[in-house]
Amino acid sequence: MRAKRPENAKARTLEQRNARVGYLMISPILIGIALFSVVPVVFSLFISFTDWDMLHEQTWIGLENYREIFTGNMLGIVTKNTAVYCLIAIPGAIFFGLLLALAMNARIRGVALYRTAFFMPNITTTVAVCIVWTWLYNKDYGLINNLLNMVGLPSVRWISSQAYAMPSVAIMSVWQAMGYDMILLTAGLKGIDQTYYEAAQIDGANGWQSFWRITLPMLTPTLFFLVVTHCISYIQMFDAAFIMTEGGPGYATRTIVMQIYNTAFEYFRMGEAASYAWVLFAVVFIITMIQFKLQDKWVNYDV
Amino acid sequence: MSDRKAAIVYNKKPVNWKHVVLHIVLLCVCVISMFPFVWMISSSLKDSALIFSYPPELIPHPATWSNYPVAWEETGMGRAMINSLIIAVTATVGNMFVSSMVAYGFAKTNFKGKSACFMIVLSTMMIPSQVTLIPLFIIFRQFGWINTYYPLIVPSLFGTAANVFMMRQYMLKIPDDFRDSGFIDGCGHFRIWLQIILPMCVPTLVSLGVLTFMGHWNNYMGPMIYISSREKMTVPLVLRTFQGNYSTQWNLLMAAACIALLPIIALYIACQRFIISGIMLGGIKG
Repeated sequence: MRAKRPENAKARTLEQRNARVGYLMISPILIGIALFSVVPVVFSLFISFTDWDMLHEQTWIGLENYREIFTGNMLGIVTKNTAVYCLIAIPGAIFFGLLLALAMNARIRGVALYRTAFFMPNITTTVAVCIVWTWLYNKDYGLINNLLNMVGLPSVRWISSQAYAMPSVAIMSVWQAMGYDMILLTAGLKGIDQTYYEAAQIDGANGWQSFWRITLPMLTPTLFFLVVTHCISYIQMFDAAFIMTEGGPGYATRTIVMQIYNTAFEYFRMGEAASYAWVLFAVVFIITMIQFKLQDKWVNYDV
Repeated sequence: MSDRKAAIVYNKKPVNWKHVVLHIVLLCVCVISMFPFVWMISSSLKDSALIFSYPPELIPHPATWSNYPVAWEETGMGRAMINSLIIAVTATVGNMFVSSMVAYGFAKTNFKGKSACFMIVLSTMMIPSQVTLIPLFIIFRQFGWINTYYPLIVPSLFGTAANVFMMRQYMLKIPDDFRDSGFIDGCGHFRIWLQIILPMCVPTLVSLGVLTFMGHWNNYMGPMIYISSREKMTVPLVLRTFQGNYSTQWNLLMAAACIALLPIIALYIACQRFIISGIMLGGIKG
């Protein structure tokens, strides 16, 4: 009895020491979150209730910034632009990514080479590829219009017209993202148990039926992941439109984030910019929550 | 002889038409994926008259190589690449080191409130960076960090949630026996992390490291907000500045874009395997 006690005590101190080490090891990220997430988030909320240009005294104006945003017409414009972009780029990238993944899954030669090519746009510097696409889209000398003219079609003012500017940027994004979606969907396809297809074949299902009844339902977790992550990142689109059109012509490609950037770093209206950021946060949060609520309706986690 | 051999093989194995159709489709998409790059190279080799010629020429004749030295000089790309490298390497190495330590803490140690802390870490991934953009700018300005690399490096030295998450997932798959054998040999957690677990995570570390590196290298908004002086600019920034000054000299712009993309494409081709598996690590949590 007496011999056991010190051993127990020692075990406890070892456990305590290990616990201390555990805290110590995760402490960097907790400090980082406090410094670069919690403090700025609280500070941002405070700024959004003030009028401030960083030069003069910061004055508390309550909800005035939010009132101004919601009664002004810019929020409607930038939200609509961002929505148009998302509605073209997200389904486009996933659709082409899925097509490529299905084609690559057929055990054909040269898959590795194809993958290298399809994924290349995804890793290359957005600023550089946007400059290339600006050249391709050029209304007088761009290759795309040249090719259209060569087959007798009229030129299109891709990024220089209000109507086509945002779809043009979105097409560039589809080009950039489809390789990424392909890789994740290929991984999803590899995860489907082949016995399902064998069973379906025995039951006399054709390829089309197997796709709709087996492949697509089994891919829904990957598709869900892609939809959620694309929504979060594409709602925050900035680089592509900023490089290719600077938000123009007019306000045609100004996104929510560009509005935040312009308000803060062009007009130095920090309070209003912070309010826009919170509106953006709310939009991202609500859309993500809705998607998680809706996932029971279409996402299949059975296997 | 070899022709006959080929013919025999051909007869044995009829053409798989399904595969032929698939190859045609894939090749078409390949052309779409690669063509902007091909056109970029083609345009970069044209002189200022040929660039506007109609019908467009794919292979410029004669090829004008002089765009490259001009673009290199005018952009100050050499300096910019060194700058980008300094930022990306420091931030990535620091981030991987710290993230792996935090991941070990979450995967292999026990303490009260561990899962709560982990939830806090994960939940920060939901905050759009724009919410913290303005306050961080103001805070860093107070520190006197404007026009320095600190705002671009220091935040990632505390580890990032995504990297911690993915590395923890990987470490959870390593049996605890490895840790316990370290205990028996008298090692503490820090030594076990550094000498036993970390070497086992090298493939994951490289995958996430390359992706983190590319993220820093390609980052545009951060440097745009914080860096103002020419000699401190990163690759995307000098490209953007060059675009502003030479907006209609497409041959020079394309040469500059070529130069800017060369290192990143080389890195991609060299580390493709790691990049793909890194992407998949991110996807698995779905």
